[in-house]
Amino acid sequence: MADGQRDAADKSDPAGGPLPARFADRAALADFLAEAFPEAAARDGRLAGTEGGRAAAEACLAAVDPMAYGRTRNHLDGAVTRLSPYIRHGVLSLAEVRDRALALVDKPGEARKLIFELAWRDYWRRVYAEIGEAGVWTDREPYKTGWAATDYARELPAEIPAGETGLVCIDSFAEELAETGYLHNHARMYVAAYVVHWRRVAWQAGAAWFLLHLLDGDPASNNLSWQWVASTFGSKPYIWNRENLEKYSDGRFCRVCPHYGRCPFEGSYAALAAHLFPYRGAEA
Amino acid sequence: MSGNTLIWAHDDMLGPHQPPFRATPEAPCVVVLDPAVVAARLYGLKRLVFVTECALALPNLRLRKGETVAQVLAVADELGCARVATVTTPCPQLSGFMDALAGRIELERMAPDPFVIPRRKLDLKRFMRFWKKVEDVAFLPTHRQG
Repeated sequence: MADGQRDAADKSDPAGGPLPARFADRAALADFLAEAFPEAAARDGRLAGTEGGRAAAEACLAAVDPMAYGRTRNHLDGAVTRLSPYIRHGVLSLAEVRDRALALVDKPGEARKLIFELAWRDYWRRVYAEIGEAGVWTDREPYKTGWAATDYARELPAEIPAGETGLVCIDSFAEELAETGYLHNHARMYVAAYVVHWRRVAWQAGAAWFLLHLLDGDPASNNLSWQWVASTFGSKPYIWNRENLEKYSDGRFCRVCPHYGRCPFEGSYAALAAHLFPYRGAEA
Repeated sequence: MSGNTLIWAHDDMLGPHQPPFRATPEAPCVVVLDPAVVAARLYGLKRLVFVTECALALPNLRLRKGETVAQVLAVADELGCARVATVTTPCPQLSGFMDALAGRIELERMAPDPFVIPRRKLDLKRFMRFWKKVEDVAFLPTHRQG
């Protein structure tokens, strides 16, 4: 920490009061915050590469390509916007992003996919406003998996956040989440489905893990998305298979995975659903 | 609003284009890093750094640590501000701070810029029901929403 910041920090009341409004660099800021908020640093002491602030947000917004987003957003290397941390903290508004997207296309429909995804975030916020904090941590509806809520473990197995399941895809996603504070939305769905349906862990445990790391994490979109995957806020559980992952990752995980060909994600959706949800009634 | 306004920028409104900044661009602003919020939101260091970087980019900033209501009132007192302006949020914890502040100082709660101004009654049971009600306006730019 630079002398100036050290002096300011030493003069500040540890119980509260003014904090310095300038820091020599990011490392100095991180050092200062780690000292001022040791509990936060103990929860997660890493730094992400994503920089906060309006200038960084505007740079990100300037790079948005609504048409490429529409074509490629489901691919893990697709032209996603990375705007979510800035939207989450009100540095950018959903309306501002929509207006920018519309300005970049000839017809509004060319920005359809992006505006559709922005609407999801607006929707989650509206639901959160209606149901409150307790509501977003509570099953909105029963699981539609054939399992009772009590069949799901309350704690996240330690090897999942540690990236030590042995499954290259899941471990890579866990590492990326912890290192960067970000995961592609499709990766979030893969991980959430693995936690809830393959490991039969209550979605709340996974949601809390994500909130600890995601720069864009908020109880509205994070928890309600976990509930959507779990089927406690949706009509059916979300699952995926190895073929889907390979398609949207160009096979980069599967190629180096020792479980290739016999991993838990092998098989058709019907076969996986029958295996994961043996007590669920016949599909409607 | 008058010239003695203090903007309280909580961490759901850390952008300089939020309504209170547009209404009173010269007003001082306070951001409070509140250990209770940090704990409730499970912030680790990388999130805390990101949030603080957003705060540091705000104009006329006073950055404080401590209990939110006490710190906002302390800054208002120091600067001779008779009113506080902020933006509403669905977060119950932050809304509770607003309620507490409102009993101690004049508080203006401004609505955030809406994504859509619905023309029909919303149905939040499922996203697609919501989408069907707002799809027509979602593709309109902000200046044509009203």
